[in-house]
Amino acid sequence: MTFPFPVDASLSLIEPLLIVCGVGILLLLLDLVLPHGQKHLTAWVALGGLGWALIRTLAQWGLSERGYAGMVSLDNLSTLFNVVFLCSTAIVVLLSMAFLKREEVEHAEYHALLLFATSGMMMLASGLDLITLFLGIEVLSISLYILAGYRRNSDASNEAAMKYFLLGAFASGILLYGIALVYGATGTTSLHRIGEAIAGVGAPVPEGLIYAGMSLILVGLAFKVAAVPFHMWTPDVYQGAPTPITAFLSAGPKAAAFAAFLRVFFIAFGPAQAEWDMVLGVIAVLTMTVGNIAAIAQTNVKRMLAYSSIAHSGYVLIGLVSGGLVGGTGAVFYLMAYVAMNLGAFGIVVLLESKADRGEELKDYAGIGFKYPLIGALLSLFMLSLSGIPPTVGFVGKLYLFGTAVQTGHVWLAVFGVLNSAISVFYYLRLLVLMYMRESQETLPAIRIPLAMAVVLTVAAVGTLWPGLFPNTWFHAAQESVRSIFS
Amino acid sequence: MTEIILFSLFALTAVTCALGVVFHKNPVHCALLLVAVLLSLAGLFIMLHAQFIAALQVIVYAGAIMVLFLFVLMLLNVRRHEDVLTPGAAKGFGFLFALIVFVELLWVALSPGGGEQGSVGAPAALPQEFGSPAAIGRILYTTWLYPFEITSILLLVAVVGAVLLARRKFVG
Repeated sequence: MTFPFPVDASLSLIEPLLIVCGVGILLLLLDLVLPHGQKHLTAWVALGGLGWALIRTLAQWGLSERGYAGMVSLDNLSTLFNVVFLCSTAIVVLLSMAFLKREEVEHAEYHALLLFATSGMMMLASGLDLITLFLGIEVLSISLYILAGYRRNSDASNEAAMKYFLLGAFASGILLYGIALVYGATGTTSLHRIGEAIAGVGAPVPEGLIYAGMSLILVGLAFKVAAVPFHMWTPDVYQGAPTPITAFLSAGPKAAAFAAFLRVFFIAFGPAQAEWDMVLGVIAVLTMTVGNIAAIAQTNVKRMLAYSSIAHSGYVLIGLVSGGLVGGTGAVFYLMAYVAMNLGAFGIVVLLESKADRGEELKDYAGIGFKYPLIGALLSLFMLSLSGIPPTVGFVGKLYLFGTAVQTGHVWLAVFGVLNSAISVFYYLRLLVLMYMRESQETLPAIRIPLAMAVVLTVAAVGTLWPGLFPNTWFHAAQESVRSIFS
Repeated sequence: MTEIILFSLFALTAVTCALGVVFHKNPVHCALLLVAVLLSLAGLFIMLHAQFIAALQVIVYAGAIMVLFLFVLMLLNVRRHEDVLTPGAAKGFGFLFALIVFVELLWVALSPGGGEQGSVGAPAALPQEFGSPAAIGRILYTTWLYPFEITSILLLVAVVGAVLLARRKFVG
């Protein structure tokens, strides 16, 4: 049988996405046949799917193709981000094992939703059209709303899901309004054709409408990366969500939103950079400053890491404002660094907390440094990296980011960045002071590190230290990925 | 001329009823006003030669989805007529920012270059079968195949989530 219409649909183009979605659906079916008490096996199926997708993704490195009427791009940017998403989701699956068992909420849906969220991120990173971008954001966000409220008998978890859902739905509405205005102005939703229209190829376009649309799209994306002043949801959601989900939220989805940011602002709005770089620069400074200063006042570790996550969005924004190949490379490198060190830090939080949100306060960390030397050393490593102290990847990332800001003439951004790093040292190191210089109030129980957790912490520690000492591989990968969107 | 009259009729009804949805205190009245908004939007779709979309708008939104809305409202038995807007400063700021955005968008829409020179407005000639179910079906399964398929993942996620969160108790 021949198809009556030409369909531009190459399955190999989206192979990793298909694998992740397929395994997600398989998990839902498995839930029917697995007896109660055996549901934890779905975690291994999910890991298998992620590993398979990762192998196929790595095989795609270097390929450059477009398909589906120019809406999907397979290039080094999408491939690199897919690797980041798949690895971070796999780490979260491992992190969740002990947690799900402890809270007695082992269900196949949990892993299925993690995989669907990952598929949403992959759609975002490979989308070349505002419509696919919007759908990717929705697939990702809806999975996250549900996961944030996964512990239904916890008030905090319900509150987190509700807040995230209401504010997120509102932000999606604003994003969609922006997309509609840009479509109205240019008559297309394709990123490349919007870029051509703005650059003045073809008929002149109404500028006011484009800039109004651009600002609304900026607001929608800024909400997703938790940039100030659209960050209000972050602390409550990060604190209320189950801790492995908080780790998930701060890693993959943030990177995915930045991948979309890169594509939209470099391809579609690239020709209008003079119009947006000041706006984005001010947002970057506000995000760093508010995030870091608010983090000082926190007494809850998850809340502190939430504000730290806001601050790190600000650093990545510096890369976007610097623009071009160097700025984009800085942003992508820092995102990879952030995902590694942050997942490590959250791994320790998951390990130390106990049932019903106990062990999440800063004072619970008093004295653990000498009681658990290995955990203390690892947490110190992640905190040093988050504050940007050598020889960690956090230091290399910041060095490069601030360097590009100076190179491209944004010295003021670099100055604010350095000042903010100095502020952040205070609250990251306060945790170390608590661990090593205070006595614990109560006797600490012995902790056994489960195998899955050991794998997570090893991977995160290697990801934090190795590129800190030998940054070339990561740097090269980041550079190639950003280069691919300019070709 | 007829076009302007029809457009004004549908557009004014849509805006007035939308304001009613926001300001009316009785939720059932709000839902009914929303039906009026959706119906006038269907009218606007017809004026844009999108008859099929207009029909779907009436059947799916004004029909099925609104029935669900009303079901929920009646099941929850909402009787309180209290002011739903937050009092005080939040309300003031809300109005202020809404006003700023409104004026800004109005300025953008009316500014020169918004109308003639740009691509705003209907294209000169529409294809013969524009807006027909056949034409929509064809582009849905060719050009827009990828967005169409990922929408199905979106719906699947929503269904799984609704079941997960609404299930009375985890079994086991």
